[in-house]
Amino acid sequence: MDYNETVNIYNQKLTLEEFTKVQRFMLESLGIKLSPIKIVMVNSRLIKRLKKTGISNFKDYLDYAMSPEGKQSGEFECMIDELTTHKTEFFREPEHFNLLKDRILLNYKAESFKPFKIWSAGCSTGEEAYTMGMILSEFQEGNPYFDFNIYATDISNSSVMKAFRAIYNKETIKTIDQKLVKKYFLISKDITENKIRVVKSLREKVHFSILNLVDDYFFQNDSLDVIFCRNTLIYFDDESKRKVVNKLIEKIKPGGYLFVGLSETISQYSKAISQVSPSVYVKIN
Amino acid sequence: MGSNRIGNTISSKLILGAIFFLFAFILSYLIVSKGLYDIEKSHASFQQQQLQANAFITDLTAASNKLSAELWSNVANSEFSGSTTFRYDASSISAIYENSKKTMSNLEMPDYFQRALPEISNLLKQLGQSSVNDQQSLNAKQNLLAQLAQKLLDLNKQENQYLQDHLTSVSNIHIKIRLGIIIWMSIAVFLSTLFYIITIRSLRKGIQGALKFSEQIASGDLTATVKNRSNDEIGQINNALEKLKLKLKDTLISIKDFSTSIMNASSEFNSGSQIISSGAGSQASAAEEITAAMEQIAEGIKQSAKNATETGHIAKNAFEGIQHGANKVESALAVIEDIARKNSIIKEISYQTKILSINASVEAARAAEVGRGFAVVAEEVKRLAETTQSSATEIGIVSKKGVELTRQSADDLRLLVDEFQKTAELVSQIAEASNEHNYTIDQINSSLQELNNITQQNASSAEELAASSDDLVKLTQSLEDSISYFKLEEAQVEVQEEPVVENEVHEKVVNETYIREENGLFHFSKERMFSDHEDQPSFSSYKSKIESEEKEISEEIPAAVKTPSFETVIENEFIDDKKEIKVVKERKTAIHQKGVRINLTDNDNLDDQFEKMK
Repeated sequence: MDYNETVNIYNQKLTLEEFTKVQRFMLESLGIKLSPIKIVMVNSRLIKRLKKTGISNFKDYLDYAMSPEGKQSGEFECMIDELTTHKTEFFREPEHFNLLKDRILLNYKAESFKPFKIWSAGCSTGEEAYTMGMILSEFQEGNPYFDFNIYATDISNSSVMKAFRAIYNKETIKTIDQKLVKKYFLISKDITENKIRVVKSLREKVHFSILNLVDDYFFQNDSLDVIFCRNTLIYFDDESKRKVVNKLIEKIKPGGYLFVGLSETISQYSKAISQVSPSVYVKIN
Repeated sequence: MGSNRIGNTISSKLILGAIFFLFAFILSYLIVSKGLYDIEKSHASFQQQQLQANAFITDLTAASNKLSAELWSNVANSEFSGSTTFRYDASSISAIYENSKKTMSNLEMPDYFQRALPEISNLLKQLGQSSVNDQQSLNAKQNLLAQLAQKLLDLNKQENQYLQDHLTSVSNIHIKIRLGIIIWMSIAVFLSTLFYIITIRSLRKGIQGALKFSEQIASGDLTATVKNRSNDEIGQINNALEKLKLKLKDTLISIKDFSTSIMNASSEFNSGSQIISSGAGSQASAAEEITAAMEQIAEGIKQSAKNATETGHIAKNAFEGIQHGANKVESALAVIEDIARKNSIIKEISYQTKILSINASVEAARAAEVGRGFAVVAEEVKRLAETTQSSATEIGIVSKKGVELTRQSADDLRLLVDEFQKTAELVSQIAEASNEHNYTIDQINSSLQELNNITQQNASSAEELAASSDDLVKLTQSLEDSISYFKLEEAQVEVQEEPVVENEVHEKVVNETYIREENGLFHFSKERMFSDHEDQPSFSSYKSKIESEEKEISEEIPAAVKTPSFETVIENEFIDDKKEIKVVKERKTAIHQKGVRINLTDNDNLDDQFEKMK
């Protein structure tokens, strides 16, 4: 692309009308709430797509992305990828993982040898799911009869694909215990690549799917031991949040746990849960 | 090496060749000219001679004929008889002879002519006597004339012979000229052709060398050197080309050095800006998430503030209620004390009644039989009084206890009232503080939003920077490519490494697969993963379609995008999950739900690029 065209694209400004269109779409189909101040964010995020597609203005881009052609070409999904936030890291909010390890797993009694089921709802690029995998694998070493399945879903196609590929930058594992790093990560042979990859044994434990949390889920009721749905609900509007929280609770076994982000509170949405620790809830029998 | 330099130049060679030719031409010309001159010259004298000789012969013949005729006519007229003298005039012949001789003396008459002249002169001298007087002399005269005629006839014959000879010699000269021309011109042509062939050959060789050299330069090979360094124009061209090559090489080497530096700098700049960009992207994501979290916290604090205010109200009400209760207890205490006071009156009255009953029983004893009934009444009264007294005593004890308890509870309540007052005050303080927090968090929230906006803009700018730096790398790459067209060194030891562009691996990985929808199911294939790769339906085709649709203005609603049936998805994708899947019959939002388990067959192959950590 010509440099001037690039500059021209970066100078595009989202109009209020266009923003309202995006806002309505995000709320109606994803349950994601965008306050008016997010116009800057939407603007800066969609510009990337404008550059990629070479479309010179927002109006044309939005019309295209939401048209059947746009859906067919996948531009629609790319737009959603951009508009959703994919912040995650290994061992993010470690209190939760400590709680999983020291409290939930230690007290866990396998019923009729069923595997322990844990779901990373809103997994983004998969770091959370693989962190769970490391914790559970470590636990499994001391408990040979223990088995587990990790499910990980996200609305973003590209994020899930990235999660599935399990290839990350080396910097992402800086904070992880060296012992775990050696055990669960491979490093690229090409030193210049600076990439790492999760080992196959751990990758096989995680099942990735693309899923919109506002939609219905494929899990059976009362089937999951633990759900992590952290820093995902913060993007939803109140009504969607209530809906999603109740659906998540339905899927957890009585006595199972629901983890939300440290800044989130969900006790107001359901009577079926009680708080055991900040942002950790247990389903009441 | 200026053009004024005189050496073995092409022009001198060409001029030399021309000189050769010219020389041959001039030689030929000279031969021809000489021949022609000779011919002309011999012609000219010959013509004169011939004319003169002819005139001489003709005149003399005519004169002798005339004389002879005169002589004969004289004889015939006068009947020549021995002694008769005839006069005749031979002077005219002599005159003619002298005249002709005079004229011919200027000319180089041929030898035979020269030889004939004295004889003729002699004959004319003999004829010169002007009278004939006898037959004998007449005969002699006639004989002389006959001799003269014979002489002239011979002369004429000789002249003819001479003419014949002359013509033969002329034609010989012609042959000579022709031969000369042929030989000399052939030699000249041969020599100059030979010379030109040699010259052209050397020229061609030189030009071909220069051509090859310039073609090598054109094809970018700057390692070639030119062989022909002769002094001619070709050599000059070669020298100039060599100079051009050296200059070009120098320039290119410095450009290459520069471009390598630019390349390194720009790829460094690029990777830097990619890092900044991805950092800014992560930062933006983090900021976005912090903002969202902060909104949540603000929401919570708002709720807390509301609750605190409410609690404050409740505490205030409770405080008022308890104060009221305390007041009531105070009045109850007063009432109980009053009761206690009143009980002592009852006690007094019962004591008095008892004394009175004792008095009454004494009086009844005095009244003996009459007072017996009265004594029973008095006894009953006494018992009543005693009962009343003991009850009053009990009441006294109880009421004393009651007073004590009530006093205690009044004291307790008073304390409680104080505590409640404190509590209410604290709660209202909390409410106030919460409201303040609420305000502060609003401030923080809006600042954070502001910060977030800036971060988003920075991220966008970083993205732009990264994109531009990508362009820069591409530009320098193409510069490098352009330069690499030229071969500057015989063997290039160092090979310029291609810059590693961030994300390339990811794109390589991702490029291999894409989700394709077919028969309600999503398939992964190696053709395309994401729309931002090449083979998506282009925006332009979409635009043209839109434009054509706008013309029609049809009300037709485009068919909804087909999404996989959820049942199918479950059956196909989660069949291994111990049959724990719930089949969902209906789906509200069809657009994004996939529920497709990701499973790519080539995923494990990527492990080849990785190894165990040390």
